[in-house]
Amino acid sequence: MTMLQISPGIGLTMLIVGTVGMLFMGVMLVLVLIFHQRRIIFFNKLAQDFEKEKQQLMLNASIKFQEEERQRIAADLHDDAGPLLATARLYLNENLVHQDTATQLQAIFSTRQIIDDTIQLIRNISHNLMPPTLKNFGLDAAVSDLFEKINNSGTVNASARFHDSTKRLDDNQELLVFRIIQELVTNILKHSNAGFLHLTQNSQGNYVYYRIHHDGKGLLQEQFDRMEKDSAGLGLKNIHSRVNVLDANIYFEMDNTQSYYKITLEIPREY
Amino acid sequence: MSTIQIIYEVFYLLPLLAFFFFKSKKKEWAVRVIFFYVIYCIVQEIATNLTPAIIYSYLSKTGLQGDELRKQTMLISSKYVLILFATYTIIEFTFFCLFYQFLFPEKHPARKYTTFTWIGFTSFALIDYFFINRHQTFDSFVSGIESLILIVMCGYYLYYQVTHTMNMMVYNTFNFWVIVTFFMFVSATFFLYLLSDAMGKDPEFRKYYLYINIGANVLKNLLLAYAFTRVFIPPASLKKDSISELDLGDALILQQNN
Repeated sequence: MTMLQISPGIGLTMLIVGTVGMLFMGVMLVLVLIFHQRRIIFFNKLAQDFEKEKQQLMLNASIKFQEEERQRIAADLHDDAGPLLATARLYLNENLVHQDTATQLQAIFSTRQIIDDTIQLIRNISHNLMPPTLKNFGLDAAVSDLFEKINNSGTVNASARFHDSTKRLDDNQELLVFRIIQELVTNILKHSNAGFLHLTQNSQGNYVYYRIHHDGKGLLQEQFDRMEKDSAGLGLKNIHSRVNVLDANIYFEMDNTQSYYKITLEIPREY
Repeated sequence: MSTIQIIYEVFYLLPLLAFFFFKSKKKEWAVRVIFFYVIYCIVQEIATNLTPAIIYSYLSKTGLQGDELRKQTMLISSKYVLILFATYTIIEFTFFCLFYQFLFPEKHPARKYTTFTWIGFTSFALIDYFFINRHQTFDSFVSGIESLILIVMCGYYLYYQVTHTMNMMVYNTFNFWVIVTFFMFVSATFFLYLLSDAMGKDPEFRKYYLYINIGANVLKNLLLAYAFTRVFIPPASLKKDSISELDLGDALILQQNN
């Protein structure tokens, strides 16, 4: 099949210009690809380094948190349970059999009191590790319980309302959400000087929302993002990592009236 | 034979030497395909060069002499050379399509389209050869179409590389250099083959044909030789590294809770 009928002069020019042009285009295309790929790999590497650094910070925060928990439990056992049991042992010394009945009865009564206190202490430690209300009655009951205890302390007016409890979250999700709320409330009580604390729960579509309002000195989103990256913000890092595991979102803002700080936790039902 | 032509012929051996001396995962089928392509190019070159001599020796035995012998030799050998060129276009395209299949993961649409393109182009080239051109002239049109298809396929692979960036630099792979080889070779010879049929008898064009053809083939062999010094990366390993999102502390909590 003869494709072209062309004069020799034009044909030669076409050949030279065409060949040089095609080669130039080819070389440029290959160079563009190489430089583009170098750029992408460079940015990928930066992103990976950043991600690794973040993971490392999270890991350190988790380890530190676990260590602090262990230290707290060790301190509770050593400082509270230890002396109580030592005191009980003193009451039940070998001379007790030589004492008169009234003294014996008094010693047994005191020992029982001490053992009761120790049981209560161990129960408190155990509850701190895994609240029985959460395990037995679910997240809403556990949060209600937490807020009731805070309210009963008399220093903060704390309340919680649940608008949609028809469908519970997954057990693992409930534990993680409870820990997040616990951490948030602890932070508010510790740092914000709030006199009012209110939690609302509702759901929309496939999401469950927990909103905490308080009238103390709170955090805004950019402050949270900044502090969460700081090496000091251990509690905030734990909140962030738990939010990540839940595939949830957390927002720190002022409410519409600009009188309360509002923290919104948005959790997908299935993850 | 001029010095340039000797150098040109010697360059055909470079990819072979590179294949035997460098690590390029010789057991990979993609590498083998290109190795067989290199062998085929050498055989084709030898056949093209030897055809006139064989025909000359055959005709001289039939009693032909002088100008008549030379004229007949030219006539018959050009016919056989045209057959060689026509088969070269189809076989080169087949080798490229085979290699191209190995560049994409299984079930990637590019594999399916490559097969369809190969069937379409081969049918078209055969129809052109037997029914349209009737092996009378250089297959400029078929070569032009082949070049265009190869440019599009190479372009697509380069685009694929942009969108599926590996963590390894692209210029360290056998895959990339073979594609670049074909891309540069067809870019350099596109106009040459396209105009060969129309301008083949022009002496000035023949001079340019010689230089551009030699240059393009030398470049092709150099690039292929370099490709054999690189390592073939199968498409399965083109996946990106992923970093786990799960934090250790929470993973422990989840584990304990289970």
